[in-house]
Amino acid sequence: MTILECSSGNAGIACAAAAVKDYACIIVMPEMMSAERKLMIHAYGAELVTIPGGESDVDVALKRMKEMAASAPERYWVPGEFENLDNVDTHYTTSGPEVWEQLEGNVDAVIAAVGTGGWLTGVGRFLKEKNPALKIYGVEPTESPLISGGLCCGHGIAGIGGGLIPNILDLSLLDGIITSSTEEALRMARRASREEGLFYGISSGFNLAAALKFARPCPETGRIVTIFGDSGQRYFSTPLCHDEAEMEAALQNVVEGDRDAMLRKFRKTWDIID
Amino acid sequence: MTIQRRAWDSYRRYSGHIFDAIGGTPLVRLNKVSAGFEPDIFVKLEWYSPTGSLKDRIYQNMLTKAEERGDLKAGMTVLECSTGNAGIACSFVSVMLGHPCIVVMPEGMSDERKKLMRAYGADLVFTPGGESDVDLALEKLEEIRSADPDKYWVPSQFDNLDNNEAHYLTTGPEIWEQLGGKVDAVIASQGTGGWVSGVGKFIREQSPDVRLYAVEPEECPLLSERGWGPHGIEGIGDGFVPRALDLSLLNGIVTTTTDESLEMARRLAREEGIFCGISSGCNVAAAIKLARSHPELGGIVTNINDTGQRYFTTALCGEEKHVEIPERDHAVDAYSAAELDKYAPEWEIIT
Repeated sequence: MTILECSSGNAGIACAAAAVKDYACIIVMPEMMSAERKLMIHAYGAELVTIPGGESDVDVALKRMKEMAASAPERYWVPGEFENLDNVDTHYTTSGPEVWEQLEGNVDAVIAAVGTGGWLTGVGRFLKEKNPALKIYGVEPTESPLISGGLCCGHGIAGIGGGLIPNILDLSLLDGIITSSTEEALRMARRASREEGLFYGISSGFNLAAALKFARPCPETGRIVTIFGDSGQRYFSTPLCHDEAEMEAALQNVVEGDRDAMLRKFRKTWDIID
Repeated sequence: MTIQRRAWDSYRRYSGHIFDAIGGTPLVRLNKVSAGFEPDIFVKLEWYSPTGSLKDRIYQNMLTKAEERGDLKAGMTVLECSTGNAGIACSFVSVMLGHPCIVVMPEGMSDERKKLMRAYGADLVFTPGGESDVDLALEKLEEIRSADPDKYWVPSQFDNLDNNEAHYLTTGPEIWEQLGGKVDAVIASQGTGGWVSGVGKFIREQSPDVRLYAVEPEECPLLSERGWGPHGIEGIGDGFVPRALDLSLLNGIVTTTTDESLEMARRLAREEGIFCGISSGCNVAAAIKLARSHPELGGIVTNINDTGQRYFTTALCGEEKHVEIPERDHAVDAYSAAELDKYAPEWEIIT
């Protein structure tokens, strides 16, 4: 059988790498994803099918993948990371216990952007069982606050905020939502490499920016855990690695005109940490 | 104070500093690309280190040693010549220790490497040519340094024996433990020579019969033929014998072509799930040549120097890059010639 998966990047790379064992692999993704991700998927020998759009159009890619799967159900097996509970289970049985042991049981909050929701749900559930007082916060782009505001727009944070609320995200676990902008995410990712020696991707900067927003009004919180999802080496062709002037120009295009006006209107009504 | 090896179980508890994540990398046995050859081939995955290459180990050691000796003082700028991974690690270690950093490099190096150095806050200075023109970058570095010697400290990875020491103290012992003392040959391409000399020295002390081989590009066969020429394997084969390369340890030289190295790097991704750089493909291609020539060897160890993620704009990922190589004579320097006179006659050459 052929493994068929929809992914905006890292999942496609991991899927292609896992398939190296013995399977053919096809990845469906929005064409705007970074060139590095596509090259890595090719390097592991997988095929790529692209659909128009960017990160906020993962729902379109999912539709396309489902059409393909339906056309030849005997031929394809679909991991379906957005719906597959083994995704959550992986983090519940590995990442969660690892974090718990690494912090020797001393952890007060878990904060992470929602991609599939697998990490936040799996890690959050495990840690909450250990410490019922634990706070769990999801993070989403200010430009595309689907969970906190019901609004979906373009943003510049690859791998999260895919324009859908994934089935495996357990909303009942959440204590709240933090929003962070593409600009904040990029600036924080850059600071992390220059000040902490941590060269990571844009969604990692996004998570860190959100963790700091949470820490500011909640100084009583002892330890906050978040995740750095991937290396900055997958973002050379993105604003993360542009020079300052190019980055400023790219940021101008992220939120502008009508979208920005709409965001301003909605923001007044949300109970969010912004 | 010498650098501490990362304890195998150190990730059991959170790390207080990113330096705690240097070293302690996995050693993996190859299964498919080595099929049909008697010896087992093991590769050390150095991209697990913070900046994604073997160089974190040596810059941590070189800079902390220099600070302890008083050679590198607060306020001084670290000035280094590098074709890539070393410059990235140098930028990273410098910024974490609070020193500004300038890296001099040939302009033909991959864009990803330049972007990584800038991400860690370093300034870059470019000289003409590609990998085979590192000597021009070294000249430029000397020009900058001599204009203001009190301002700069130069790690000089090609000459600095703290480079070898990092591998002698960490990489070598790690490999020895990971193979339970069963290692028959160590083979690696030579950039500075620090890895093959440091690891080689440690393993030879444990096991005097271990065979040690340096690998060089067939297009630039300095060690095997005293020849020179442009090649496409970033990070190795720089056209001279570095002081950090201890030729007295070697049993022989293996040469591989740029094409063989690229082909093996691509196969490693597709068949082993190891997406690595071109010099790592070179190492494995050479290890397989050694396995073919010496079926009696039990275990052969080589290095995966870095990830393929810094080669997106190179031939590895299908993008040919044209580099202007300056026309010039390239005589073998006196030190290199004298060293080769001493040791080369005894070497086994595998091509």
